[in-house]
Amino acid sequence: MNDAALPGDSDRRLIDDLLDGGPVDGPDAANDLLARLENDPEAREYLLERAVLHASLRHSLARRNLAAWAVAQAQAPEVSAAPNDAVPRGRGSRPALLRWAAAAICLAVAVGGGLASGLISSRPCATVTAGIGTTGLATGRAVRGETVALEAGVLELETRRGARLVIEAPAAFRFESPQRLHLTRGRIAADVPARAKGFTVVAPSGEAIDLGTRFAVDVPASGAAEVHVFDGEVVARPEARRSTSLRDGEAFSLGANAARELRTAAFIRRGEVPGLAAAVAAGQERRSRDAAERLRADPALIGFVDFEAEGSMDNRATAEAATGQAGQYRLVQGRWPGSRAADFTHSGDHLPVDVGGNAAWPRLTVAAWVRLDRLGAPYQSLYHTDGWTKENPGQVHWMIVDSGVMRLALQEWQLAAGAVERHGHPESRTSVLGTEGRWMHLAFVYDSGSRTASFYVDGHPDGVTALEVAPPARLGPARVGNWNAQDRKLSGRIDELVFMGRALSATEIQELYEAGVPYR
Amino acid sequence: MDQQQASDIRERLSRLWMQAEPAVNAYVFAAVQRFQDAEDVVQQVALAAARRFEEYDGSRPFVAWVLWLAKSKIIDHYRVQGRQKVVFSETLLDQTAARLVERQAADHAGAAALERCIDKLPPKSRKLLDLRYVEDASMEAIARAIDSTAGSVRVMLFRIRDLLAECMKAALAEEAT
Repeated sequence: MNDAALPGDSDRRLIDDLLDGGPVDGPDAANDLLARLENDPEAREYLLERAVLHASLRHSLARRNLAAWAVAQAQAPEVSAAPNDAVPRGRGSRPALLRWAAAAICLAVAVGGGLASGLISSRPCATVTAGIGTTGLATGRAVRGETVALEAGVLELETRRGARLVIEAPAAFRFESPQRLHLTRGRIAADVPARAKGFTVVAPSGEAIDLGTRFAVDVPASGAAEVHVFDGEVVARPEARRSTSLRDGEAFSLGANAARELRTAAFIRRGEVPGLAAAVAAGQERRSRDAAERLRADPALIGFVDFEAEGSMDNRATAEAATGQAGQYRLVQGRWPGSRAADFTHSGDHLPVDVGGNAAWPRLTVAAWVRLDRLGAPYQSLYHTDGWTKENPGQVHWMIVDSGVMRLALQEWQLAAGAVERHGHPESRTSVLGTEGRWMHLAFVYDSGSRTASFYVDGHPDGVTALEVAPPARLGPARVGNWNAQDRKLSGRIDELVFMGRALSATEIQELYEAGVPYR
Repeated sequence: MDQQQASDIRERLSRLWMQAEPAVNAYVFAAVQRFQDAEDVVQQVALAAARRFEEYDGSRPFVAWVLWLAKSKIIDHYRVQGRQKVVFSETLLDQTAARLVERQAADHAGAAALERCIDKLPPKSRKLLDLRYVEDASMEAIARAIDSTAGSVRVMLFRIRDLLAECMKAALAEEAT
């Protein structure tokens, strides 16, 4: 370039400022500069000269720093701090420097494989920040463009842009870039900071594009993917259809191109991960299994419903319940990595449970591990017997009402005089529906001898109701979830459902909770 | 397509990409201000080039084709990332792309010269460049690190770039004689 053609120093400095993050003097100065660049070939020429230098400096200097780091590593082998995205980014800190240096080097590395692989940098798109029961995906591991199949457990990742992702098995995913994640199966919850705005989850039936938010995507093995927005805004773009903007509290089915009810508990979010990880690390799963074995051996056991012996995970096909009757639900991960639970999502989803036969049960304890969504609609059905008529005293209905508390109803019982219950049925005290998902242990103990109905939430007593008339309980054919007689539904997961023909003590219920709780 | 053909295509694409990459980098780094954003866009361009390679018309310059892909990726980036302070118009994107296609050959010779010229810089200038280009620090953060002001840092970076540009020009002129 001829020196005489150079723009003046002040113009040249403005162009340098542009490359360094935008002109300092505000939008007017920026627009002036852009107009100048369009009209002045010399100014454009200078911009390109500087842009070439700018990009070359970024690559060259990063490469040099990696070389310096490699030498330092060789001289001090006890320092094992490998480049790691999990280390908080600090200005001037070594990890920030190293991360970039490694990135630049990887850009030059061509790896084998598909056509694209020779061009795409192999620098990490994300780093594992926590893995619960995820074999081979330890904390600190870099995730690049490879396909990751997650058979069991929960994986927490942080992308290079700082988006925090929690992916629950069974899942399969692959990063196209730090800003685009292909999820062919599984559930993901994403916390996306401003600098990762635009982070996109690509599902087989469409995309969810973040506009600064907390959101989640559920991709079942078969059936339609759903986008759920907890905070902020997301654009849902179903395959070959118009985009829809979703705001907090909204959900959308990409496959059905229709609104859905927000399922608050369907996703494991960041806040839940440390507690889950600590429980697994402390061997809690083993304790839970042992407690379940003791329950199965209890002579008073009427029924124990779990899903461990069932077919393939995540299958929405009609499943055989423990009772041998056909049900309709989705088999998903339970409280432990790789364990199973029944997930009720669609309005007709249900699980037939036929326990207790025609017998009268003067004392009855029913307990379950649940993970329930906070829905707009009232009445989630935990357990509804089919023979619910006045001619069948003692028939049991157990549900969550719209205020979020449990309600127990027995056909033909009567509350004691002066009862405070407003709806004529015993109810628990505290809401069991949170704003975020969480496993909870729910139980009731019915004793027709002492004429009481007691509730327990997470092992703690949560209300006792005295009764005037207390017939023995009767069970038989029943349903968890959708109960056709009165359009009751259930949204969430059931892990274990236990029926005992005796009144468990408060201590026993507390022990049951402590042995099975998946948090530490 | 058999394996040999696939391998030939891969090799051809890799070779073309390596030649075009400096132009793509300069183009994207000019139009997209933050390093991480720019690097992500370059990666998107590479992916698009690989996916759509069969559409490339071999009778036209490859660099023109990838810069055309890059233009749409930059516009996508502007649309999604509302925070971009400076947005190039389509006209400006076309103008810069056209010029990069014309001048592409010259850029490769510069790489080796740049390495030698960086070596000649005094330690203080090197530190400033590291803060800017390796650490990706803001002007304010660099100012704090070297106990100066953001304005002075801008001026210093400007001067260092001028020095490097002059040094490279001299080195290239020497090689030419």
